[in-house]
Parts: sequence; C-alpha cells; structure tokens
Amino acid sequence: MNDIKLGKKLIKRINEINRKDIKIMEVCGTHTQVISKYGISNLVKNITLLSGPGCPVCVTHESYIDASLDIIKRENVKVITFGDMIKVKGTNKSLEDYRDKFKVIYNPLDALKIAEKNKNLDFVFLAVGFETTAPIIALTIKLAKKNNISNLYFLVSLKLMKPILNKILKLNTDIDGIICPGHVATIMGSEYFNFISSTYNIPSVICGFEALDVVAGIYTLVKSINKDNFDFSNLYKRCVKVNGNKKAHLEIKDVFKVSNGLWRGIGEVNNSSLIINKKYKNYDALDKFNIKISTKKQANKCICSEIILGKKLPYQCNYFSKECTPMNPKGPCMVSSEGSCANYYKYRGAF
Amino acid sequence: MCLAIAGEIINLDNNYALVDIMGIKDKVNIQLLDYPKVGDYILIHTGFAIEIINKEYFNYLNKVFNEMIKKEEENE
Repeated sequence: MNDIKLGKKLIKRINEINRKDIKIMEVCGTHTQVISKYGISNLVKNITLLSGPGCPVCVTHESYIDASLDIIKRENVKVITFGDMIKVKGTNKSLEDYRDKFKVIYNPLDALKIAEKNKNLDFVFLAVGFETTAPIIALTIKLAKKNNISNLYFLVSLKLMKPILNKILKLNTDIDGIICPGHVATIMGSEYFNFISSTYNIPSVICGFEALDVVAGIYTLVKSINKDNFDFSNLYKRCVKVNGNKKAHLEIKDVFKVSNGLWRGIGEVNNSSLIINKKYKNYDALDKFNIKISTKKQANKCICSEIILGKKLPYQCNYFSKECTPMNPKGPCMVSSEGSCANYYKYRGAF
Repeated sequence: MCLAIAGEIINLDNNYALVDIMGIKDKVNIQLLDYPKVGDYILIHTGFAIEIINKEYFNYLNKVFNEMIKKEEENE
C-alpha cells in the first residue's frame, strides 16, 4: 500500500498547489498516530494538522472514570477493560490505583469467558469506543444474554462522531477541511459524513490508515481548498461502502438507544452517545450498581479540551512535557497512545 | 482505538473464521459479515470482522493518484 515514490510526488504537489495557511483536522486516533509517526506535519508547508476528538480514551469523561472506580471498590466485583483506559484519571484516581481489581482484554468476547469461569464474582466491562466498536459491544451483550451469563455488566460510554463534528464545526470556523475516520465510516457508510461538505462548505475526505492514504487525503483536501470547492470524497473504498455495514446497524439498533453524551473537556452534547435500551437493561452496570453519572463540570487546568476542539496545539499547554508526560499523564490526551499530546511527546520530542 | 487490521480467511466454522494475520493464525468472529468466503481478506477490530475488504480497490489509490499527477504534470 505504501508506494513511497507516489507519496513523495503527492507531498511535492501539495506544497506546489497550496497557496494558503490552512488547518486540517483529523478525528481518529489512528490517523493521529500515522501523521505523527511518519512526520507528515513536517513535510507539508503552511498546513496545520489538528487532532480532533478521535481518541475514545481522551474524550471519556471524568465522571465515567469515577463511576468505574466506585464499582471497582466494591466487594466481589472486578472490572474488565481495554488497556488504554487504565491510566486515565477521574477526579482524583485511575484504575491503575486498584491493580488487583481489573483485567485487561483485547477482545470483548474474553469478558464472557472470564465471567463464566468466575461465577462467584460480578464483572463490569468498561465499554468505550465510537461507532466502530458499538456493534461489537452490542453482539457481546447479546451473547451474554443468550448464554445466560448473569454476573457480567456493561458500563457503556459509546460516542457518536456526527454530533461532535457538528459541535466542533459550529465552534471552530477556522477549520478548512476534515479527514474523516475510516473505520467509523466502514460501519456507518460514506454517506454518514457527507453532511460536513454540504452543511459547513468545507471539503472532507474519508481515508484509510497507511501513510499513502493520509497523504492522498491531504492532497485531495488541499486541491479543493485552493479551488474554493467543498468536495466530499471516499478514498477508502476498499473498506468503506456507501451505506456501511447493515448487519452492524441492526445490532446497534437492537441493543442501544441514542442519548445525550458527556465529553471530557467539552461537556454534554445532545444525542451524541449510545446507551443500553430497555430490552437489555439487566446488563447495564448503572442499573445494577445504582450509579448516576455526574454531569458536573470538572475543573482541569490542562488544555486538553481546547486541543480536542482544534483551538490549540499540545505544546501550547503549560504542563506539556513538564508536569504532564506519558509516564505521569495529567490530561487524557497524554494517556492514550492515540492521544494528541502523547503523539507530540513521542514523535516530536519534549519542548 | 478504532484500530483495525487485515487478515485472510483460511477456514470457516459457523460464526467464526480462522484467519491468517501476517503469518499469525487467530479465530475471529464473523457475525457482522455477509457471506464471507475462504480467501477473502477481512478487516478485524477487537477480534471481530467488520468488513470484507474489496479486492477491486486494493490498488485504487496508486492507480488514481498516479494518473492524476501525470495529467497535472503534462498540463504544466
């Protein structure tokens, strides 16, 4: 996939065509990683590449972490989580402070096996992610029901990309183009992102995750921006169909319903999350443990929220690489390997 | 976290497929796919296949963008 010769030609053309100072935002943690790893920001002139809210860990609200810590402290209960979540702090602490009380998995089906093997304990799976992960969590909940697993619950924080993009593009009118998240598009379909160009009059492009995919995406956007067009293109046709994965849509619809969602540093965004519906409420950890997620705004001195909204870059934060490092993250963007700050720290060095 | 990797189906068994991922064999849930076949390349996210990769577009970027740049260079 990575034709270096073509990649070099595209970068040369980007720099020849572009006559403006432009800002392009990507909204997928894996795109953030690709851009940083290959030093793409340094190869394109007069283009600022911004990382939006594309890392689920970075946008997981403090109150959700506090709820998981409330659960983890209880007797005979253990938490199951994706590895990225363990260092994210709630109001004060993170899961890492309770090392013997959680298990890290890659495949949600492992949560079923763990629960089945340890029937004397209750387990809570921290189900975080975007539309890409939602059908998988839905299937896992359905399999738990089918297999009569009664000691596994789900603390769900599944976010939707469309409402948050609407919020960002209303708040930040400086953004000239959007690189859309390829795997959210695999599930939802290319049409899901068509609104960016048609509503906000800026070009947008769906990209894959090889260096060439991203460079081709930037080239496509730069061409449109310099012609004052607002085209919408799907360059990830090998994995993204117009209407997405219909089976995945059915699974999401069967298990979840759309609700307002809390985003770290941003607050409540209307209709931006998925919660477990009535049919599967026996699997909802909020019901089981009688927990309410607080919507209270948390005081945070770092500027993660402005970074996620594309208003500032990581090294503009006073804490970056000083008090806040991947070894001791202060804000969520430094925690995950997909976070904007963690990528600046790893690939561009401390400032 | 929406990271996904590609693998080739080498065997099918009800809701699961044995998949070759760069030489490593792993069992992947295929309930979200329509009619997967042995030899298909699939996109895998957290142990689940989320799409069959369309082979027709394997070289789409190389073909389209090489042609585009060639035309631009000819016009200059």
